[in-house]
Amino acid sequence: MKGDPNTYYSHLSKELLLALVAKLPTAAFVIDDERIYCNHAAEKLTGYSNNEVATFTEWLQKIMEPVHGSLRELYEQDKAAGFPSPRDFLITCRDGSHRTVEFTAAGRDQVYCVMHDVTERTRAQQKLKDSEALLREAQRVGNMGVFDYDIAADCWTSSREMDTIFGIDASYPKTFSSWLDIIHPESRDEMAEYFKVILAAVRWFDMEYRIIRPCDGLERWVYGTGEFICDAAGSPIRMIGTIQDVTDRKAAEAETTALNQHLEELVAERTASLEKSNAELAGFSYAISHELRAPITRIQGFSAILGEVCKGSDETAFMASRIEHASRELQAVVDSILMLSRLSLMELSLQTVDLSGMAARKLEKLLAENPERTVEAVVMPGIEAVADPGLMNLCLDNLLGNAFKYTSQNPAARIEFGLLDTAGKKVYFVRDNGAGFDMTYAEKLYAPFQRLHQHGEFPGSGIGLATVKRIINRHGGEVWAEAWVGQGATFYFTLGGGS
Amino acid sequence: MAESRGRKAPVRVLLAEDNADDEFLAIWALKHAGIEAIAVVRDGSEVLDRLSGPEPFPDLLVLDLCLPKIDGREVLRRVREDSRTRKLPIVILTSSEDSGDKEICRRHGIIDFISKPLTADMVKELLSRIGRS
Repeated sequence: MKGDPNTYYSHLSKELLLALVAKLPTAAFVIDDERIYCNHAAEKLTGYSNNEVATFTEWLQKIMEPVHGSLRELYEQDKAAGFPSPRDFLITCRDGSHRTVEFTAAGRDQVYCVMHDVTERTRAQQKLKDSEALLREAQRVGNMGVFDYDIAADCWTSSREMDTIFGIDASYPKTFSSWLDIIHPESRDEMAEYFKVILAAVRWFDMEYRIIRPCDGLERWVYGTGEFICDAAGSPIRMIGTIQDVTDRKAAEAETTALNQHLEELVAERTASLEKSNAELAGFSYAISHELRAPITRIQGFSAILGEVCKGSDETAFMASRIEHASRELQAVVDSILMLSRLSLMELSLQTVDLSGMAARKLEKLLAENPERTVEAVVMPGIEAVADPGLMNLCLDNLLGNAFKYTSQNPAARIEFGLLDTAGKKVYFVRDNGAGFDMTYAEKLYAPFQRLHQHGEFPGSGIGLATVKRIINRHGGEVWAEAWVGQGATFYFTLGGGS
Repeated sequence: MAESRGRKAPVRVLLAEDNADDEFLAIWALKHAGIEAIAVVRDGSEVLDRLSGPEPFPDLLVLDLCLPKIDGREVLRRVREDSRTRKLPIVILTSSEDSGDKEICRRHGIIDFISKPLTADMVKELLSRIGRS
């Protein structure tokens, strides 16, 4: 029994042991019968001096926090058993603070006890326990499992949550091929190949794949992520990662996709039917205006002859001339409708068009035809677009013709053709400092035969901007205007994706 | 010049028109431009018959494109294929502005593509262009 510390001390004198305890830098105390003696470190730990806590009863009452059952009984039991192992107890210090202390005791008649303050260690352990619990809870709530795959041993371990997601239990073999077995047969080869590729490149595992759960044969979608852990040489030795059940999200996605597809089909269907009826309408306008032309020309012909025949009679000749005039107006309207319906029906022939050149020539022509006008014409050079040249010519004809017309009352007229590049989108514009218009009526601009100015003020067919809008729309673009009464107007247009 | 050689030969016109009103208007314009020798046919096959018949050859064919039986476009093609009528001066009379038609007519070397109604002034101008004013 030489090694038993409880009996070992009995060979030493009580005085020697007390002196030893007193000198110890570690907190320690001696229980001698009912009396108690603390060393300096123990006094410092508890905050109580030997005078304040002189008996074991006082020690138990003042310092030791109660435990389940009786502390004294526990002490007597341990003492009888020779204090087989240290025990942790919560103590209350003199300042009211609590600390966790590990008590290591030995002795028979006198009991010698060393105290280790383990408060910080206990706290850290508790924290670790808490965060582990939190992690488990997070995995459970987030439907997320974790795994660790040892590549050389071809063996993976997994969290309980992961086993639940995969529908396996502890007895399921956890190897690479058993993982492949869980994967849906249609994705199995693809996933095996995927793993091979990321292993070779030491890349992240990041993939959604279908599995068939062994426990119930149900198909589920999982989202797996993983990172290779490499050895010093940079070769992957392990992969740790997560698995999430994303079946519900996948189902929602599929539903959204199906819904979108249905919507797209519906839109395409409606667009097609709209285009069809538009084409029918354009065809009808074309046919009707075509048919109207012949009788109108006859009215014109006969009224002209009538005017000539009745030269003597002022009144009849006047009426004949009015018939002819009206029929010419009628013809102009019919021709306009015919042209607009042609614009809707004709095929576009797209090519690169030199818009700057086109605009400059048009302005030169307008100036040559109207030598009495002084107009400062400003054309930004080098503007090109992919468009139908014939239609763009007609479009600029109308926009520049309008600018020319509406600046006729401004002696310092200025007409500008240019290009803005706003957010990568090309916006072409024709700007003038002419009569302008009230923006309140801007919507009416593009409707055929709508006028913002009185008939006599500025002559025209009333379809110029309707023509422009149709041409721009045919190119997939938009046209809009900014204007102020008396201060000019700017017409902007885009030409869709092609330009 | 023709005046110095004596009496001017009358200009003979073949008018191909199926609508009575349009025929009236065209004849009025032709007559007021001084043309008296006007023969009228009312469909495409009559045009071709007339041109291959014994009647004197016209100096000018005034052709409506929309004719019954053989339409004006086909008449134009056949007239141009025939060596005897290849150089016959032709004026197209139409109430439409169809660009396709204009193109066909241009290819067949016509003198003009005239929108109805035809007027005396237009006829006079045409005659000057074929050297018969």
